[in-house]
Amino acid sequence: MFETELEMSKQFEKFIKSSFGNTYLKEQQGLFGVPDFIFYEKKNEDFTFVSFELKIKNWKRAAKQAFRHKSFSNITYVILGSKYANPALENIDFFKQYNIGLATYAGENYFEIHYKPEIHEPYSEYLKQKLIEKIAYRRKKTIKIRPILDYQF
Amino acid sequence: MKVYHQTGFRQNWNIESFEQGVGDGLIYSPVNLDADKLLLLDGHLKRTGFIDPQLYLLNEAKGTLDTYPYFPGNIKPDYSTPDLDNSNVLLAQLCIDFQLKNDFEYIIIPTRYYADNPTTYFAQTSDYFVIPFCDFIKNKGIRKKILLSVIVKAIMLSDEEKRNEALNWITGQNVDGVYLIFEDNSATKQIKDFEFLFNSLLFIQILKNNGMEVHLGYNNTEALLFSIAMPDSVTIGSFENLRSFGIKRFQDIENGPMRGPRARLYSSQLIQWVDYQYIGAFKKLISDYENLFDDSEFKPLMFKPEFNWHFLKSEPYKHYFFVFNRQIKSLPESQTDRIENIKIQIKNAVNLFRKIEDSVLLDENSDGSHLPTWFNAVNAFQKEIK
Amino acid sequence: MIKDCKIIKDLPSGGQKNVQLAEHPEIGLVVIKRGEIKSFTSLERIKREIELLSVLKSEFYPQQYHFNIDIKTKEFEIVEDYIEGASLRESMKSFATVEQIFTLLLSLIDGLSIIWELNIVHRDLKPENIIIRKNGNPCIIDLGIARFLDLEALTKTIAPIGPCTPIYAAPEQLTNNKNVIDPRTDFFCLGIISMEMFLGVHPFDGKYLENQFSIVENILQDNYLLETRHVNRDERMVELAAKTLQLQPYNRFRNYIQLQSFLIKHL
Repeated sequence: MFETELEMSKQFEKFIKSSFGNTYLKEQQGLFGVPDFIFYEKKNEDFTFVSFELKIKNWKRAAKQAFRHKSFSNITYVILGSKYANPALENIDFFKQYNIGLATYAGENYFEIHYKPEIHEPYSEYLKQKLIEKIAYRRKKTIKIRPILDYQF
Repeated sequence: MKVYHQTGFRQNWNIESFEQGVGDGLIYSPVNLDADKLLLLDGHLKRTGFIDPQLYLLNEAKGTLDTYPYFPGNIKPDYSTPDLDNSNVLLAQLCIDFQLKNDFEYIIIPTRYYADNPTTYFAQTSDYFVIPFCDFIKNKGIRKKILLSVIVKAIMLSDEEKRNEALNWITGQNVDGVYLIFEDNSATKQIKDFEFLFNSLLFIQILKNNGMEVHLGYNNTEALLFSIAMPDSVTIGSFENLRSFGIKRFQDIENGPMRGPRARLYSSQLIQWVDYQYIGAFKKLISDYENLFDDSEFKPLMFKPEFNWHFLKSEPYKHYFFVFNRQIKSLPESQTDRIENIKIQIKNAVNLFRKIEDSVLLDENSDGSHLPTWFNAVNAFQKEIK
Repeated sequence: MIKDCKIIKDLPSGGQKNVQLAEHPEIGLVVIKRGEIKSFTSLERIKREIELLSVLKSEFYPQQYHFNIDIKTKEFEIVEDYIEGASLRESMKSFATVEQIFTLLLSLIDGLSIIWELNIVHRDLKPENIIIRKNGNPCIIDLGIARFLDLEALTKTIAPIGPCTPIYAAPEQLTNNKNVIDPRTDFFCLGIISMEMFLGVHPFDGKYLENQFSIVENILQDNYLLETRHVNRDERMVELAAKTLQLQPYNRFRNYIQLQSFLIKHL
C-alpha cells in the first residue's frame, strides 16, 4: 500500500492512467481549492469534469475540499486510502447529503466506489470556463471514463 | 462607539468610503502614505482621526515611513536603541509637532514591538516614549488628548502576572487612553480561542473601569464581540493585514511574489467573511441565498456572474465598510442591552449556518465555526462583570 | 543649624531614627531627626524627592529647614518645624462618622496631591504621621523619612505587630514590587486609615476577622473588615474600601481626581 499521500498519489496516477487514460490535470491551481486530479471528457463542445481529492485519512477535511471542486466539476470524489477508510464508510450519509462521491483505493488496481454521486452542472460558470480554457487546446481523447461518469444528461 | 478606518494599502478606498458617510474617522499609516501627501490632505479627513506612528521596529524604513520627520533614521542614520537615551526628547518633539501640524483628534505615543516579552519593556517605554511625550505636551500646554499605543501580546492575556503588570503599568500612565492592539497569533481567519477572547474582553473592561479611553486597532469582525466591553472605538480595514496585527507588515524584507488574497464577502447576518467562490454553490443550492448578504450599492455588481474578483477591486471592501459600520452603529448604547443583542445576533447566525450546511459544505474559514466560541465568551464575560 | 538648636527632649521615634524636640533661636520649636540610611538602591530618586520637598511651602507639611545626607557615615539629618497638635492616632475617635472621615480625607488629598503632582509617592502614611492642627486641618509629618526606609529590609522578617511592622503598607510594598509603586499605593494606605477610623480597629486585624493571620498576611490575602460588633457597615465605606483596598492598583481609583470626586459625591 502506501504510507504518505505522495505515494498514494503516485500509485493512483498510474492506476487512472492505465484505467481511464491521459485526459487529466494534476494539482491544478487557480480554481477553488487545488484538486489532486481533474479528469475530463470532451465530446464535441461538451466538457465533463471529474475531480478527485485524495487522502490517507481525515475524511471530513477531504470532503470539504472536494465540495469546493463542485464549483468547476460535474462530479467530485473523495478517494481515501482503504486502510483508514472505515470512519468515512460509517459516515457515508454525509457524502450522500452533499452529493460527494466516496471511493477507496488500496494501491495498484484496487479501487472501489462506495457512493456514486449524481452529476450536476458546476456551480461556477466562470470557473468552468476557466477550466475549459486550460484544456481546450489539448487533443487527447478519453478512454474508459464511463464507469466514473455514467451520465445521462 | 466610533468606527475608525484602519488605513494601509489603498487608503483611497477608506477615504472615499468615509466621505460617503461610512465611519467616524481615519487612522493613517505612515508606511503607506507619504508624509507630504498626508499634510496636504484636507482637514476634515484628519480632524476626526489620528496617526499610527508605526515605530514598532524603531528604525526599519518600510514603505514611506522614512518620509516622516520623526522617523529615527532621519535623526541619525543607523539609529538604534542606545540612541534613544540621548534623543528621546527630540524624537518626541518631532513626532508631536507632526501630529499637531495635521490637527489630528488625538496625539499618539508610539510603542515598540518585541517578538518576546522583555522584562524591561514597560520601563523602557516609559523612559523613551511616555515621559518625554507627556513632558513636552505638558510644557507646551497642548490641549489634545493623548493615547498610548499598546501592543497586547498573547502572554499578557494568558499569564496572570504579566497581565497584572501590563494593566498596572498602562493605568498608571498619565494619558487619556490607549490605542490598543491585540496581537493575535491564530492561524484561522476568525479568532476561535476562547481564553484569548475572554481575556481580551476583561482587559478592555478593566481599562474602561479606570476611566480610560480605549481605541482598538487592527480589528476584524471580532470588533463586534469586543463591543460588549464598551471600547470607545473599533476599526474597519480592507486587507487582512489591516484586520489583524502582524509585524511582518512593518518589516522591510524581500517578500516573495505577492499572493493576492482570496475574494471574500462579508455578511452581517452570518458574522462571517464567506469565500466568494461559495456563492456559486449558494446560488444553486439555497433558494433565497441573496438574502444572506446585506444590501449595499456594491451588492448588485458583486453578484453579477461576470464580476471578476481581484484583490485590487474595491467593492468587496467598501461593502464591508458600509455593512460593518452599520452593524456597529446599530448596537444598543447600554452594556446590558448590547450583550443581549450580540447574543441574539450570534444565535441567529448559528441558525443560518445550520440551514446553509444542509446543502453547502463550507470550510473552516467560511463556516461560522467561530460563533459557538464567541457565544461562550460573551456568556463568560457577562457572568464576570455581574 | 543643628548646633544652634537647644535640645529639649526626645520624642517617640518608632525605633528607626532618633527624634528630638529642640528650640532654635530664630525659628522656634523644631524637630531634629537623625537616622541610618538603609536603602541606597534609589538614591537618585530620593535625592530628587528631598530637593523637591525642601522647597515645599504648604500648611500640609512642616517647613523643612535643613537636610543632609552623609553617604560615608550612612546617616541623614532633617530639621523641620514642630507641629502642635495631636496625631491622628491620638485623636482617631474624633473621626468616627463617614462625613468626618470623608472631610479629613479630602483635606489629606489636598495636601498629598501636591507631592503626587511631582511624581512623589508618600509610602508611609499612617495615623502617627498625621497631626491634626488646632484648626482641624491635617499636617503630614515624616514625609522625608520614608525615603530612607526600604521596606524590603522590613519585609524580610515579617513579624506580627511590632514597632517596625508595616501594617499600613499596600500589597505592592509588602511584596517589594517597586515597578508598581505610584500614588495608588498611597490610596491603599488611606483606605486602611479610613476604615480604621470608621471601625475603631485595624481593618486587616486577624483578631476581628476571626482568622489566625497577621495583618500583613490579611493584606496580602485581601481579607478585611467592613463592620464589627459595634459598628454597622456603611455602603459608602464599603465602596471606598472596594476602590482602595484592592490587591491590584489597577482596580483602585486611578488618580486622586477620581478619589476626590467619589468623596465629594458622597458627602
